[in-house]
Amino acid sequence: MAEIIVMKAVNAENELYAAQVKEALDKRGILLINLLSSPGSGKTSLLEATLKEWGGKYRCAAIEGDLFTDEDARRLEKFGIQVVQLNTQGSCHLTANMIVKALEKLDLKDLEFLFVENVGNLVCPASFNLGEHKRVTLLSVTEGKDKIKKYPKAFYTADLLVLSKIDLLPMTDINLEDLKQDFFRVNPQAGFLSLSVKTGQGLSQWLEKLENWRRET
Amino acid sequence: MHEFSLMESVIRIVKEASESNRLARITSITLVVGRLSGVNIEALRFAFEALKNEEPFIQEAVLEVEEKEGQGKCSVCDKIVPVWHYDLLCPDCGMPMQVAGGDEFYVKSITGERDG
Repeated sequence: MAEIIVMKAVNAENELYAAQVKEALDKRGILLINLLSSPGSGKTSLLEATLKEWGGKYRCAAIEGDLFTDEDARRLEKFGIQVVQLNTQGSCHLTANMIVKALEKLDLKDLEFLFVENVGNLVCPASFNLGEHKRVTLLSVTEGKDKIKKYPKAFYTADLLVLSKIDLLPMTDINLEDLKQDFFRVNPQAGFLSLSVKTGQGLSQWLEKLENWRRET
Repeated sequence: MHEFSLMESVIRIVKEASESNRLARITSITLVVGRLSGVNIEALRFAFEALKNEEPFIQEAVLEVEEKEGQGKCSVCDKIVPVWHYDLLCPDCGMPMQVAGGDEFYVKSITGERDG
């Protein structure tokens, strides 16, 4: 009988792939944004609004993560960008090796922004680094005021919280200041934005944030 | 339920370690799971039981789990206290705490019988 000391992090393999993704994108100056949220918070709608506002100002591509269907990819292809649809066939999150494979299908030449839309889920995607430069977690006001406390890791690991569907705020029992306080308790370093793709409120701050991030990296 | 894919990674790590150390049959696997790692130990055990039948070399292995408590460090006064959630405030100055430990998840050791 022999005891072997292993001391190896379980996410070590994922981190290797994540580093590979980051290196490939850094070499070409491409900014990778990982979008996290529950299903239906408006990740695809935010990307549609972003692409529409920019109207070709930046060269973008997207990787869409869903359990099944290519509906989100088809929504974004209308904007004339490259989209890779990843179907996880039941798995609840994307992993970095999936991104490595997706990159092989993309023409990275001259790209400036690459958006990854993770599987809609506030739990599992938070534990997997995809090699992103920035992680954005979306929360729609209709999801209720307790989500930050209930699913802290998705908020703790974010660089920016986007509170979406802000036009519906009067219809909810959310107090904006309380919600901000809950968020900054979990993650005092991150940024906070509220917006609505329906009314356009807050959209210019979001676009400005993306442009600032690109300049920084 | 990301514990299934995490357990698959655990098994890959155990396989690699057992092959490089020429262990034929693994009798125990010890994991360290931090309370702030986002890993549910019950779900992990469930995944282990489901997956081990596909891997003859770990079929008799026992899964040992050592839990580590979470640690928070105050962003202002640097005080370190045990925490159970991400959103605790410093008991001294009321400012938000940063995670200073307890978010780890790794394979600590394996025990097994050598080849031959």
